[in-house]
Amino acid sequence: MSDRNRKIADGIRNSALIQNPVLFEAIGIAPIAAIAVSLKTAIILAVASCLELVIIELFTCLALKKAKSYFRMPVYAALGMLINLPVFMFFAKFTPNETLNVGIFLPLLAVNSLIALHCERFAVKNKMKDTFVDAISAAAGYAFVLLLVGTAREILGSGTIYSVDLHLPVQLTGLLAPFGGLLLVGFLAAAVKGLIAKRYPEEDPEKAFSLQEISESHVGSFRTLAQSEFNPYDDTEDEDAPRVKREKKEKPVKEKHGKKKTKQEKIKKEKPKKSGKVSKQKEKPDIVAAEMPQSVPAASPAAKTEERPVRRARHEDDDYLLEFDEMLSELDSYKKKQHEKAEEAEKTAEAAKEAEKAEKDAEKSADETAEKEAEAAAQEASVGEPAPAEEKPKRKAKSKAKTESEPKKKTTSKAKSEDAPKKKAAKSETATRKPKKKAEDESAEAAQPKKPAKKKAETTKKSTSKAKTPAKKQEGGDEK
Amino acid sequence: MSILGSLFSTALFACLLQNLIFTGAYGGDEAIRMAAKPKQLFPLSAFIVYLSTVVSLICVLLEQSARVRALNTYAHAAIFVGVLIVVYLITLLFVKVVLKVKKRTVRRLGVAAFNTLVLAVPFINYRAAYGVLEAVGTGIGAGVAFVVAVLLINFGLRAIDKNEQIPKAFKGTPAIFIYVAILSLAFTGIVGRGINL
Amino acid sequence: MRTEELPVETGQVFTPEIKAEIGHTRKYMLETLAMLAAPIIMAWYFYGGRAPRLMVISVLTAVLCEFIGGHLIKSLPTIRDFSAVITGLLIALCLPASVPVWVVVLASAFAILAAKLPFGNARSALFSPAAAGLAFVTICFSDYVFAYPAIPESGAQVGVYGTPTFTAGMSLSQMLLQSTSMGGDAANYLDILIGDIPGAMGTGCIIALVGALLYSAVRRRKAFGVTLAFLVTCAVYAFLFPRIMTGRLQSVFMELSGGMLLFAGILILPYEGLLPKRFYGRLVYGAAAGLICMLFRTFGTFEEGVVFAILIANALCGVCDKMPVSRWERKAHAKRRRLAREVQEEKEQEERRAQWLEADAAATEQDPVETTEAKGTPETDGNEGGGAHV
Repeated sequence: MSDRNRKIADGIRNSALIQNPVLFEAIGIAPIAAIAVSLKTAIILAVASCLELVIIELFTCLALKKAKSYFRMPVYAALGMLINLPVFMFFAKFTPNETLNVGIFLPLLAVNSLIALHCERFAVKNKMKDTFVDAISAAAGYAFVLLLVGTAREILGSGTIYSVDLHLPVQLTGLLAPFGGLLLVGFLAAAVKGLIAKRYPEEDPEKAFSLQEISESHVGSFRTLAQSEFNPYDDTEDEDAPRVKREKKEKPVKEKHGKKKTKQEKIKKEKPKKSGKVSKQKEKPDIVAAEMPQSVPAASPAAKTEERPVRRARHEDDDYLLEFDEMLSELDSYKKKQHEKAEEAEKTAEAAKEAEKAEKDAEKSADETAEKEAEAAAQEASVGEPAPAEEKPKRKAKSKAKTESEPKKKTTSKAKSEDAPKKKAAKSETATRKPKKKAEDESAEAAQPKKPAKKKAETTKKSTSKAKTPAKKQEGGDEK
Repeated sequence: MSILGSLFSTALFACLLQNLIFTGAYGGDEAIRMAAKPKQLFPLSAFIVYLSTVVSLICVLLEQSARVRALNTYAHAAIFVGVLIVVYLITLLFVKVVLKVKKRTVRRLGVAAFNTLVLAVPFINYRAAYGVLEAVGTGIGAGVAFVVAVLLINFGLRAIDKNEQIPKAFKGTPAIFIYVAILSLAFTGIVGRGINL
Repeated sequence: MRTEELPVETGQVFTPEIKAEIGHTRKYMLETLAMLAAPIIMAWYFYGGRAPRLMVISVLTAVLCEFIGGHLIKSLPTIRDFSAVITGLLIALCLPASVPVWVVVLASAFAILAAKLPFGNARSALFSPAAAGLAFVTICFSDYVFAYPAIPESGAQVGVYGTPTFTAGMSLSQMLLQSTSMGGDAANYLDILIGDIPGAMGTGCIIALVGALLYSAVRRRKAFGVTLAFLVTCAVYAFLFPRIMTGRLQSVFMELSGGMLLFAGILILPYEGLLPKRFYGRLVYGAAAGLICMLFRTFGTFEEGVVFAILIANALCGVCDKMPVSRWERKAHAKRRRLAREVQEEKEQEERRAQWLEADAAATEQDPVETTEAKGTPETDGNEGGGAHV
């Protein structure tokens, strides 16, 4: 029993307070804003709408569950009218002045969206007891707001309460206009929201009125409007839904490829047409579109995330696109610079090591060649000229070592200075290959003078820059 | 030309100067809820313009007969609702059978028909004793007024959604209501205190 | 930022960003105060002691409402940015000097409590609070707001509306309503320019307002663009559809000088947080406000509808943001971005050089032997090598 009572209490709390039809779901504001200008009119409206809501919900739950939704709507209107007329006549008899003030809103209550929405949401799907609880609580919530707003407007606007003059000094007659009603409803909603936050902190009244579509869309083109779904009553019996979802998932692959695919989509009538103006975009927006979904939170449905990038790319102004691209390119260049720095550090260390190795090798080879030459010279020449021949090869070997070390230093220093932001980093394999190549080339051509060595250093530089550009293209392609 | 003139002037009056949603709060809740679903704007507003014009026209034509004019307010109310239901059913039949539209169009038609704005127009014509042309003008004007109102509220909802400085107590519907209140304050400035039927 | 979202570790209520924002708004508001100085002084000159009294009451009400309201909804106090002060002043200056005190209080209270606090602080407001407050009071108490007193003799007090001491004066807007011309005398023109004609407190002296316009032309180009579009649209409408019979130019002069049009166009319309970001957007914003204002004047029930036009234009601000970007704006943005990028690149190069120097220094420290050997051999060989080659 306690569970059931708790359920009932939860239901009442939900329908009346946390999802109050007026305050948080924005249903049935028209009578409140327009006509609830005094306590008496508020009482009339409250009685009429409560009776209507309860009776029609119970009737729907009993009899209309199997009828189609588009037949239920006129039934609500007709029933509403049937209930309203007796209420209207009753009040006209007892309080004719107030009924005149209410004017046309009493008959208009027949088409109050409160009834339609609550019936479609609860009465059609739940049992009698739950429906009854919901009807009573929603009616109570609505009546509460009506009475409160009516009283407040009467006191502040006319200076009376229940037609009893209060002799207030100031009367804000503007509050009797519809904007006054909306204003008071807004402040009341804020006050109740604060109370709910204190009393039931886990509940969130904001969920009742979602602005999700607003944040995800703009006033769309005719095509998007024609294909969108429409569920004012959260009707889940939707035959079109699965097909539409499947088609929506197929969308992004096609949209990236541009014109032809959209034309194909146009030919296929069944598939819903989405924003097909992809062809008019440049390549950059496609990149933006491709990269956008990564940043989108996972909670939003797939269709909307896919729609968002293309639409943003189309309707977002060029300013934002350019800025975004720049941000991305700056990010890329920053990453590359970091990579470059690390590679440079490696390069310099390796180059230093290689230089040492090359020097040692060069010295060894120079020594070997010097020894060979010395032997040859010793063999060919007489004993008279051993020393200068030995000195010359030694000098030559040393000069070779010097020439080898200098270009290497020049290349390493020039490699450092070449690390300007415009050039992009080379791969580590090519970087390690280059010092080895340089060392080998220079040791093989050790006999040549400085200038050719310089020229070769320049040519090696050119070859490295050429090697860098294909590496750049490769990396760029990887990133895209 | 005078025909067009009176039509145009009443239409303009109804949609701008006496914007029913802002000055009379007719159809205000529909406007706010539809403004939060901008994708549905155009089809829904097309239906509302069509329905308000047709219902207004038929009610005024009925009013031309002396028998109907002699009836009291309750009967008039019943007649207006009856006309609305009949027009809705005929349109529903046409749209489903002849045009074979999808379910969502049918749902839109339902929301567009049973709406305080559409039902208010014949009452306004009745109270103001408008002729046929003026009634048609009021119908068109009411529909266009709805579109204008929904667009303005939609712009406001976007601004509210982007605004992160709104205090916690006002986030969501309270801010929306106050926004619409100040908008209707602006429109009330044209007519004075708004219409009170 | 809400207090519960602030960083707890530092215990700081005002983070540097918030302080910067408040400081920026305060600077803007102090500039507005400077622009308002001349109208305030002229109001005091013409209407005696009652004018500053009403202004002070209005300002106090606005500040108090912001303080109390802010505490009720637990938002960060932004009283220091002076926006409430300016709102109060603007409201007071647009009302006639004969208005009772409670009207001013109500207008200020509505402006802050209903139009400013629910939408955040001064920079995130969705409607101009002064316009909202004035609109509310216009609808509720239109008799009080549009009953302009005759300018009192020096030393005499202005009578409050509703009391026997009140003497009504004929303002320009009333003359326009009745299609009465002001006459072609130069003296009349001079009277209007100085403000020696019944009207709202701060909106009479045209010269002071033109001075404020020039100030905004120099210091606030964006706001000036909006104001210019507004005034030009109103002038064109007044030229094309004059309400008086004595000439179009006179009609333009009367329309622009009458009522709150000039004042609102210069000081209320370009509200800081509500200006569209694009040039064309600002033009459309101002033009829309001007057109709606003149339509209100012609077809509306009140003699002055500029505050309602401002509210509707505020609602259209979001649309104006979607206007296309003009070419010179695009170029200016691109140039700014390029300069910023160059500065950043230079900084990064310097940083990199510093890092390499550090790395070199670190490397020399680590392996002094190898590096000295590497350095040593070329030095010793250099002479010999040079000598050998030579």
